[in-house]
Amino acid sequence: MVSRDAAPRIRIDGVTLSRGTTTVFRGLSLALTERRIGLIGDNGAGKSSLFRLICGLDAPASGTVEVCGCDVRTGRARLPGLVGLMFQTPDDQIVFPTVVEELAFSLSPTGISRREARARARDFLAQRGLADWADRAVESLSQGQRQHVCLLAMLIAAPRVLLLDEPYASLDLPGQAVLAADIEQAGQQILVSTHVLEHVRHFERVIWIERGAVRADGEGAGVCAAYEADVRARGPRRSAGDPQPEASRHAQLV
Amino acid sequence: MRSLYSDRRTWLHAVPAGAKLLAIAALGTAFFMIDRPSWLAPGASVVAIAFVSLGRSVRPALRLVVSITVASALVAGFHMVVGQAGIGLVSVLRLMSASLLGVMLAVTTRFDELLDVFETLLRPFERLGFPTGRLALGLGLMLRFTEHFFVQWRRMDDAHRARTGKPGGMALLAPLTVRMLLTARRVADALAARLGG
Repeated sequence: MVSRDAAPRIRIDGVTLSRGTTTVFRGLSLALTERRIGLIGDNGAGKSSLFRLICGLDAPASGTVEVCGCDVRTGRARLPGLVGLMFQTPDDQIVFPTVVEELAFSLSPTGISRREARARARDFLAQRGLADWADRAVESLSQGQRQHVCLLAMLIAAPRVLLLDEPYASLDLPGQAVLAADIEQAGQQILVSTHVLEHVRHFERVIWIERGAVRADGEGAGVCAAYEADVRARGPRRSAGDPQPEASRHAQLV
Repeated sequence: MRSLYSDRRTWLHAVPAGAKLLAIAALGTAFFMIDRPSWLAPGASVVAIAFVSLGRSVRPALRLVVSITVASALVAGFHMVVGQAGIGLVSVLRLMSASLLGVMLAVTTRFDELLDVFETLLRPFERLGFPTGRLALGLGLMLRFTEHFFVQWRRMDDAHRARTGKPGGMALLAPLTVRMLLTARRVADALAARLGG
């Protein structure tokens, strides 16, 4: 378990990220120290890009990103032990055909043998009452169960920070409840990007991202309410990419 | 990535991956060196019996086998039209046998067993400084993407049938290629995030 005192810190300092002709972030700076942080905002706002920056998949044109003091650009080899990313679609993340292999693969950066990794993966599943999942084909699992496998594959690697990109997007309500409980119990610092605001409303910190900039940043209930009010004000057909009315702009918290 | 692997245990699941790869290499070579239908037919029959003996565990791959059968029929038909029925028969027996052997491997072999075999075979190169673990993973992924290709094709064909009532056929080739390239990029991202590559 990662204690609160030893809370990992993500520092994003003056980051500019471009993709093609689009500037995703311009001079973005954030210090992320809270145990649970939610990221909300419209599609295309930059939530997934922020996660890709933090785990070193995208390199900023300028500025720095550090996870627990490790510069993600120069310390790539250390990153799997520090930060894990759960992708939106389990099929993109799961490489191995059975559950035990998939979990064992997460231990490969530690340098232990494959046999040892498999044994640890079986123990890990047994501790969670999922011993019978070990030899199951991933293909035979439901979407929610695959999502769960993705989370377990991250948890077994025990990185200090978990990034969950739209983890509730394809889950039914029971699946969402299971995932929310897993997140609650995990000792790591967790960042969740989601459109299901109920799951982050109680978080100590929620960041509302709009067009690559922080629109609001603060305690979960307040930021979620502001975002919902903004969506209502914009009406059913408008997205944040369109010009916004003054009244809506005034809802901005930061 | 999608997979054809079946967790319904069969006798072939218990056979070591190295032995299966060796058998595929030996039988594949033999099938392509032999050109007498009277010798090929019994060999192909043995392969077919082995495939059928796996029972319901091959169900995920049945549509793939049907596709290969259709392709084989087209090959046979072409050769008959040009008056080379004998060559057509040999081609079909080779194609069906090699394909069934590959499907049996995919359905009954776990990926890490294959990686163990590749790493063992590549071990001599480790002394020369090659990153054999990454190389083995690359070889294994090549096989996994072949499986993924067929599963993805099946899903897109289902979607095409649902919308048009007809199989997708060649019309799926371009979107399938794009989808495979996107998958390759996403899998590469996932591997980079997990391995720190």
